[in-house]
Formats: sequence, C-alpha cells, structure tokens
Amino acid sequence: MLEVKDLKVRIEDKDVLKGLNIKVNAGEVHAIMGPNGSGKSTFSKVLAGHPDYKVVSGKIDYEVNLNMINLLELEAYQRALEGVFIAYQYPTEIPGVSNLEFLKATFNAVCKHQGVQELSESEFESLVLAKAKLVDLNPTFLYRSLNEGFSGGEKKRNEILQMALLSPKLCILDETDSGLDIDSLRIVSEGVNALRNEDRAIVLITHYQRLLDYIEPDFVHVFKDGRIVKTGDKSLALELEKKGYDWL
Amino acid sequence: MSYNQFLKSKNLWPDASTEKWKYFDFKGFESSSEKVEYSHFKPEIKFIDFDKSTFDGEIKISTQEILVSKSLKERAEISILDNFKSSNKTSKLDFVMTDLSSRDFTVQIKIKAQKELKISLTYLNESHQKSLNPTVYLGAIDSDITVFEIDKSSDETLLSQHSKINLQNSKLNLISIYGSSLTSDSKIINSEINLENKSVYNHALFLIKNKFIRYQQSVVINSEKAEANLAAFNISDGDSFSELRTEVQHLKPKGISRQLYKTIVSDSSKNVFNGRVFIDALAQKTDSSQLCQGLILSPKAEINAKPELEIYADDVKASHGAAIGQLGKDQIFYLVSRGINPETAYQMLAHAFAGEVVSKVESLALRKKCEILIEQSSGAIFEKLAESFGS
Repeated sequence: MLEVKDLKVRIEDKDVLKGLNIKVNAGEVHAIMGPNGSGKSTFSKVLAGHPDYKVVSGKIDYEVNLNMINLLELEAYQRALEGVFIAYQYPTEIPGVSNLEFLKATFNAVCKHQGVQELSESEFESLVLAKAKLVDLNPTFLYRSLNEGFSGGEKKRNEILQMALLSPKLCILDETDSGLDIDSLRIVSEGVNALRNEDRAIVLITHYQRLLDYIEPDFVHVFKDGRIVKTGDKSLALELEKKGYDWL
Repeated sequence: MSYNQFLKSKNLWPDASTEKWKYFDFKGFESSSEKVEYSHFKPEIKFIDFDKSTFDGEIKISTQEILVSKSLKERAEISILDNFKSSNKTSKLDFVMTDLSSRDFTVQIKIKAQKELKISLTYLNESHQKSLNPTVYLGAIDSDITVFEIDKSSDETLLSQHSKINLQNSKLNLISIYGSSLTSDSKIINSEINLENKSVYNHALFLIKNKFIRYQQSVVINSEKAEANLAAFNISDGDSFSELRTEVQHLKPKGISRQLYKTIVSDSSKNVFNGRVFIDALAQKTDSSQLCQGLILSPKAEINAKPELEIYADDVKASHGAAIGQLGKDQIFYLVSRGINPETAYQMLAHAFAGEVVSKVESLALRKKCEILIEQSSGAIFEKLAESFGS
C-alpha cells in the first residue's frame, strides 16, 4: 500500500529525513519508535502534505485503485480524500467551527470524492453519535467548537472519531498515547483496534511500549537521525524499553 | 444611582478637544457645507398588532412614527419624552460632533419582574438626507430580557442614536445589528449601561458593511458580582470608516467583564477599536479580559486597535490583547488534511472568525438570524478572503 524510497526532507535549513525507506502493506500495523528529533513526526507531516516540509528527493508510492501513484504529487486535501489519515499529536483548535459541522464537511468531501451519496443531517448525526460511542466521547463535544477547550484525552478521542468516520486506508497515529491517562489510553486503543482490518494499514508513532501492549504491532522500526536503523517484531519495543536507544 | 439620576446623568459624548477623537475620520465632514435635516416630529406611540411576530413585543422607531405592539403593553411600561430643544438643521460636522439624540425624543421602556421577555427594536429611517435621533431608555428590575435591535434604514440617511440601559437584579441579552443589507450614510451610536444588584449584561454587536459608523459603549459595573459580556463583530469594505469604542468601569468588587472584538477590513476601509477598562480602588477581585482580533484583507485597509487598562485595585485579574493578521496556517492545514479543499477551508475559517461572536447569542433562533444576515451581506467579502489567502 505504501512504499517510501530514499526520502530526504528538509525543514527550513535543517535536514530531518536523510534517506528513509519503509514499506507498509494493507492489514499491517507498524510501530515507529526513536529518540526525540529523529524525524518521526516529520514523516507523518510529509505524508499529510504539510507545506513547511520540503521534500529534497525520494519517492512515496501509494496505492490508489490498484495502481501505485506518487503521493508527493497530490495536494494535502487530495491525499486525505485518497485515504491517508494522520491523527495528530497536537490537534489544532479552531474556535467558531463546530465539531459537528467540521465532521460533516470532511465526511461529505470524502463521500463526494468516492461518488457516494451524502447523508442527510439527521442520518449523519446518528452515524457520528454511534462512532462517538466507539471512543467514549461525550456527545456534547460534537456541538462545541472543534478541539477548543478539549482536554488532551478528548482531543485524541476526537481524532480517532474522525478516523472511524472517514474509514481511511492508511492511518498514521502520531504519538496518540502522549498525554493520555490509563483509562483514556485503553479506550483510544480499543477504538483503534476496532478499526483494524485487512484492507487498512496503521502506523503508530510512539515513545512508549505501553501503547503496544494494547495495539499489537506486526513490525517495530527504530528511527535515528532521519532514517530507520533497526526493524524487528514487537519484542524490539520491549528491548528498547529496557536498553534505550544508545546501543543502536 | 436612581433612575432619575441615571436618566439625567451626563453622557460620555466626547468633544473635539479630547484625545478620544484620535483616529476619527472626519473626511467628508469638515469640508461639507451640506446641511442635515433632522426629523423632529411630535412623538406619539401607536399600539398595533404586528403580523407573525416571533417576539413577545415589537417596537419600530421611524422618522414618521413609533409603533409598539399591543402585546407589549401588558409587560412593559412605554412612554415618550420630548427632548426637542433647538433648530432642525445642522451641519454634517455637527452631526458627528453632537449627540443629536439629546435634541429629539426619548422612548422610555420600563420593565419590572418579567421573565424571558423577548423584544424586537427596529430603527427605520427612509428619509433621504434626514437623520433619525432617538434616545431609548431601557430600565429593568428583577427581569430577564432579550432585545433584538436592528437598524433597517435606507441608503443616504443618518442615525444618531443614544441608548441608556439601567439594570437592577436583571439579565439583558442585547443583540444589535447595524448595517446588514441596507446601508445608512452615517451612524453615530452612544450607549450607556449601568449594572446594579448583580445584573448581567450580554451584548452581541454586529457592524456590517457600514459606510460610516461610530459605536460608543460605556458600561458601569456598579454592584458586586455584576457581569458584562461584550462581543462585537465588524466587517467593512470600500472606503468605509467604522469605529468601536468601549469603556468598562468596575466600581464595585467581584465584577466580571469579558470583551471580544473581531474585525475584518477589506479594500481601503478603516477600522478603529478603542477599549478602555477602568478598575476603581474599591473594585477588588475584579475579573476582566479584553481581546481584539483583526483580519486585514488588502494592503490599503487599516485597523487601529488601542486597548487600555487603568487599574487602581491591587487584587484583580485583568488581561488584554490585540492581534491583527491573517487566518492561522495551522488551522487551514488541519482542515485541508481532512479532505476539505483549501477554498472551503478558508471560507469555513472566515465564517468561524465571525462565528465566535455569533456563538455568544444565547437564543438559537436569533443566532440563526444573525448568521443569515452576516452571510447575506458579507458572503462576497468571505469569498474575497478565501481568494486572498489562497493566492
């Protein structure tokens, strides 16, 4: 589904990704770990198409309708329409835009792109309420401004709610576990697990092994200095927990 | 302060000698030899039935007559005071320098022990180059009132309006709309609010595409735990001038004031915000905040923001801030990265910018009304905004 080849990325004058290679197939869960500043979040921003991140060289092949296309050639909104979803570490607050209004706009954009008929307001509201249960998000948050005044846990739940609603093919969860208490971590993880299926790939960016207790990865990659320095199975995460990153 | 004292108290209308006129745009006034006729008429109230009214009572003040719905008679005491003092012609400069309302008539509305009373108040001036100069006095005791105030005057007219609001153990939700689809030539509005006995004053003000408007508001927090929540949205285009001046005086302890002012200027329009918060030495434990946010859409448009804090008490919370600029890039990216195309994202954020003020309107029906009015009159500017950020 996704193949990143020798990706080099710069932000302002700093080289952040220095030749990244990774392949993710449908149905797989990949965990990306690594020290601060190793390029993990940059990778998610580049996939999303953030304008501040300049791709110097490399290629990102992504499967659309059984054909591989270069994801870098798509605008940010087109990538989302083609099923790329980033659950952000720090979801942006947007005062004045109601959460429900935003969810409807994004859901309709995807429906339109896929040639599916949009839902009526009441049908959509019923769908969102059902999905909100999945992440145990109080429905009152649907009627508030998007992410404004939400706690860290509520913001992360709202990200997973969007993921559930949009049914993306490739989900990148950027430090979704940061700032979550134990109960929230469990609820958010259960929400993610409910969305695992053979057509969907999930990439978890995390600092902590504890998330991987809830969402079991097929592969664990270690980022260091802008590239992957080691890949293994879930036991690698346990080893990192004990030894840190210095031995790599 | 007694009702009579308040009614007779000197208003804060500034004269040309003070710094309060800084930034004021006299263009078109100083040079004009044109005389403004202001429409003194013998005030008389006509009680009628309004068709399909969604309010408990309606008041229409025009240059011809004052209409009041019969239904309001049962819940409020309404009368007219004639203030007429001098000639009925003045220069345009005098029009902006003088509170003409003091020379005309006062509509006096007294409300006692009324719950959830909804009143519509309309100003209607359809007389070319004439001015409408009403004073509206609203006094409320032990009441909970919503007033939807709208100016529906025609083009090329003038409005010099003065409001005096005195609340005693009451809550007033006031929604004021000046502009919308119809545009008067010039509007000068002076509003004075006195809060007693833990009263709460919630004001949502919309200044929409006015050619020339100066809105001055003075709120006096005159009892413990009284509260004033002031939210305003301005949108301007062409070569218009708009000014909002607020003064909040905390005179007693534990008062609360919140101010949010948002403005969008395009073309060569000019906007001024002067916001002063005064906290008296007696007003300990005051909690006050003021925020002014502006969006400038073209190189010739201008916003002058001047927040002021004057604090004489030593145990208070007071904050103020002004931010003039563009829509947040992070916000745009967040929407775009969810599949919303950039143009729609910019428009959503432009609406959200105004929406923050609209959301302060408690009544859902009136909130919808405000949204529609803003959309109808400002849609083109929002589109321009999308284009300007998209480029």
